[in-house]
Amino acid sequence: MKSPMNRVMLFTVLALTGMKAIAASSDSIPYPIEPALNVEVVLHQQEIAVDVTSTAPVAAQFGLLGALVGAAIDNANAQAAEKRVADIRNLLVDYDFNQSAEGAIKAAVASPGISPAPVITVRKSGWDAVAEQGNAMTGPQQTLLRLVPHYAIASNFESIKVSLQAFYLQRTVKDSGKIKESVIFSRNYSLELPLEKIQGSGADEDADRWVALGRDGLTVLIGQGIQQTADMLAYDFSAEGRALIANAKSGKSTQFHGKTYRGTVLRENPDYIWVANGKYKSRTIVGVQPVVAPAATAEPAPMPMPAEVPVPATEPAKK
Amino acid sequence: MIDVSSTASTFAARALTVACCTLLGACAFNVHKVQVDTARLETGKPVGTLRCAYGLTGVVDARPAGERAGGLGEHMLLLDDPSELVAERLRKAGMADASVPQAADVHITIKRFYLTQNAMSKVPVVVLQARIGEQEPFLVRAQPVTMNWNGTENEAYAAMARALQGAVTQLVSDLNGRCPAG
Repeated sequence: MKSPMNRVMLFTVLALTGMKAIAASSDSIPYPIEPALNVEVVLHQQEIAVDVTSTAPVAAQFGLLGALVGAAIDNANAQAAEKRVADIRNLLVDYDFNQSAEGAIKAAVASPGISPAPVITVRKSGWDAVAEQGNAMTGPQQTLLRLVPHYAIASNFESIKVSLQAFYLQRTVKDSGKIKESVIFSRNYSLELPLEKIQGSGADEDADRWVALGRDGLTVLIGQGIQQTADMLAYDFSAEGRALIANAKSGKSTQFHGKTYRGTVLRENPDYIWVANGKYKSRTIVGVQPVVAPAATAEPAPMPMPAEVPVPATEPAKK
Repeated sequence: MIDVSSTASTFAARALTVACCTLLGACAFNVHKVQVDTARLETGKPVGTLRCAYGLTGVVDARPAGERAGGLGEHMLLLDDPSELVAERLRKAGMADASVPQAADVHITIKRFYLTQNAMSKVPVVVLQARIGEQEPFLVRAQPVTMNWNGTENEAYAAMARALQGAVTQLVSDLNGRCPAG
């Protein structure tokens, strides 16, 4: 949640994608960003992911043997996680995350602080986004806002996270004809949905708790994640959001449901909290909304609903 | 002679690149579009044999992503309607090609057919929904996870073939479990 994670993410992007960061300051992000902003929505998932953290890059520091051992560990972890997530995916087999995310994102980017008349292109996969880079350009240079919605369950099955990553890019056609993309600024918005801990409940038991919520319970939660991350995007570039974050003091800590969160609190109520970190070039807004779910053998509890209806994405949120 | 340090770092770089592509949807590589050759989705392994009579009334392609079938590394898989792929395997298992007397009707819906990656692994996924007569439909899902060694097109084909074979085998087994008693 703290900015070092941002730096790691940005470093990873820059090191591996060939994208270069260029200067961004408060003055260089106009209001709106652009009246007719090019927006690219990349829909890269066909089902909910299960995030297995790779140990291979660390293990590779110990040579070929280390890399192979790391890869074998990763593969075993992936096999276990993918097996556990199957029932959850089956519950969601007729739920269209991509369609819901696309709708929420389209509403959010049309907000006054981003772009009153955005030009939106939807890419049906990550490969489409890369393959169509050059075809989308009408001149030697182009700026665009790339938005990547994502939803995943943690490999320990303790939480589901819905996120929306945003990259404001400058594309340039090089003399060789290749496309160069430079990151002007990046954002990562997410809503974490952690299960309230039950003593002795491991990954298998927690997976069963998610299943016990049923299709409706899961889709309500994921839908809230989609809406809240879209709201974060609109709020981040609203006049209120820009002013609040510009004057934010770093290092502030807040307690919420027994845990400490560092950063600027943008929203807080009994059900969820939003905390922002970072400034202009790279910023995260993390929301946390704990989920009360009984052990799978007990009767399912009614779904927790937010105390207030989420505001439309085009309106700034109240602190 | 193997250059251990460069092999290890390549291995790590591939893992990071995959993670980067998956999480960020932004990568610098040349996309290789692969129009899937369905003949290469044959594993040669049996899918089992039906123990009672079923008639196939239809296989419907209901994949929400359409022909996008995921991919592996730079390889983007495009798969046209795979209905015949499934129907052909069910016929081999002994299913009649249409509604026939004394046989329960079976209708199949293809819900997913794609390849994705998770950390250092390939995850091919095939999900089929079967409805016997007017009974409640049921799902079968195959997602056999295996190590991603080199991210090649051949690996992608082999993974997809395993998932298809696994899903149809599971379907045949489930249909056998629903055969009328006696």
